[in-house]
Amino acid sequence: MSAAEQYAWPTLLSPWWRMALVAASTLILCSCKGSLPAHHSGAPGQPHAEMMAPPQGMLPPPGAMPPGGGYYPPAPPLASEIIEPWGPPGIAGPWPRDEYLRDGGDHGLPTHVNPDWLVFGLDVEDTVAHYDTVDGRTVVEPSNPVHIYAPRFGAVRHVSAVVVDDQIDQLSGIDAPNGPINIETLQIPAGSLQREQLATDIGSRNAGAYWTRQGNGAISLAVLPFEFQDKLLPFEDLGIVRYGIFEQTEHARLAAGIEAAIVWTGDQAVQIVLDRQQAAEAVTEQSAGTLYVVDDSRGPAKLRVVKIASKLEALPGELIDFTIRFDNVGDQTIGNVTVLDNLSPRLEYVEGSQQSSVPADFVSERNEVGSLVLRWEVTDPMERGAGGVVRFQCRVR
Amino acid sequence: MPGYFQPVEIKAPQGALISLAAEGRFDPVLSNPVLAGMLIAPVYRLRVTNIPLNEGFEVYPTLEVIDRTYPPEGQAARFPIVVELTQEDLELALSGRFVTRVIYLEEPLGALPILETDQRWFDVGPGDDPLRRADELGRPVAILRMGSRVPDDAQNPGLEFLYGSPPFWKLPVADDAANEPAERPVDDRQSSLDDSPRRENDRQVTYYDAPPQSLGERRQVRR
Repeated sequence: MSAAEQYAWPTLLSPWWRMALVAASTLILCSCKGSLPAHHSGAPGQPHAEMMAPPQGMLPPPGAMPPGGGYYPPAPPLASEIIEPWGPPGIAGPWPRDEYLRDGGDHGLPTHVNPDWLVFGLDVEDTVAHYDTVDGRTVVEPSNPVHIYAPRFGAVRHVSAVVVDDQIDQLSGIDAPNGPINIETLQIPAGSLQREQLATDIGSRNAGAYWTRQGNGAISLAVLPFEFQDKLLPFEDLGIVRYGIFEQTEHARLAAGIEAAIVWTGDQAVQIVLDRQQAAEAVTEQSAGTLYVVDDSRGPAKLRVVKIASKLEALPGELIDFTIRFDNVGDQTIGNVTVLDNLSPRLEYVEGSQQSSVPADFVSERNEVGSLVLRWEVTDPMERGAGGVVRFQCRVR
Repeated sequence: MPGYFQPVEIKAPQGALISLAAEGRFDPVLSNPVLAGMLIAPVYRLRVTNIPLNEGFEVYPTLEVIDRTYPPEGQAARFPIVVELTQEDLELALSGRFVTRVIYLEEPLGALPILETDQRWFDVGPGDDPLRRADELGRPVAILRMGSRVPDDAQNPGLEFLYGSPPFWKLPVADDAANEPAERPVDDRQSSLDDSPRRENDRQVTYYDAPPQSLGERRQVRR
């Protein structure tokens, strides 16, 4: 430390300098605390960070309430707090299902159209289009689903009342002077004695063992081997061969025959030799005289159906515009294009709001949930690359 | 779910005033409706005053939020759980009855196909469990209980009467009428679509190239 510094330190540590230092430090600390953001979210990954802030509805002391209502509106979320709505892993969104209205797609059983043009499997909230191809097929194409956040609440009420005029007195005691006087019991004999000796003892003994090799071709009981030369060979002269009846006396002979038969079974089989010549493999190629080939240069038929909604969330009473865009993206002309939209019970079609960019007949009919099935039948066939738009408006119930 | 403030909108008949309890006393700010973020599971005590045709009497309902909703980001306050205190419920409570309302989220496919201005509710019988019925109709989210019990001291009801005064988050009530979109006239919609630019492929088809069957002829479609 130089001599000049040694002289300067006592000046800096004077009481006036120390008070100035303390005041400056206090000002710096207060300014840092006041610049902290007023709103901060919960842990990352938690749903909806904007409602996870610390409670601001704690009633402040009198006098600290802001004038005109005492509201503490939440601060706008920071960019780092904007997260996607949470959903359980493995479940397709949006989640939960009961808070969203769905319109579009083909859920449940797939929609199909019979040859007599009856439509089956068009569930509520489904939107499909079907068309006819050149080769006579009727193809169904679903649209994409559109989800609108529109929860609606109901209530179940239970009213109960306390009846104060009714009073139930509890019993103080039970007076029961009559008890059981006598018990009468009948004893049943526990055993019985057989006095008569058995006159005859008849018993039978079953065969100890029975080994047979009957296969699928069971031995016939009725047919004797008349067709064979010498009828029965010596080893065949058994009751089981002759009549199909097993006799105990033939057990030993039968066992020997079976044993002999077993010797000849296994891998020893009848061999066939044809003039000592080995059989040669013969391959024959036969082809049809005329080959008919159908060469269809047209590609597959394909209709793309896209559905969009004007808003993704709506309160009851609000209006939503739906637009269905359909394009022939296949390689052939299609016809009888029909667009079907089975509306949810929460969607009320605004009468007269439908419109179509292509000539189409519009009809509607009531569905099973009290809403409507909208149907546009495009009048003209649709060439490759052609498309159209239908649009309608619904009110959220 | 812990720490999440579920927005709840409490409505009372026109003229009635609602206040929430915080820190051992009722909020001096009275309003109707009230929009507040409430924690799941704690019981909130409300005070309803200035009841039409029953001025001078007060009802102290309790509200218990038992489940939450999952609105899109930034839309939580716009889609609150709606709890309605009807005039009939308030009068039943004043007459000594005990009213329980279980608010549930309707299943969209099972909802009644009508536009309701007020919340639809069902009555269950004396021996029936309203929570069980609500669970059959949808997803229960809140329970409102209302009787004739009043605190001994209205100015200082005490934490026991207020169930500990759980914290809440007051939110401003949005003006729905200002956000309501107008229904467009039909003629304007038709003209706007006709005037919209079309793609080249959108041309009208008036003939068909050698179909095996007449695809242009519309057959009867039944469903």
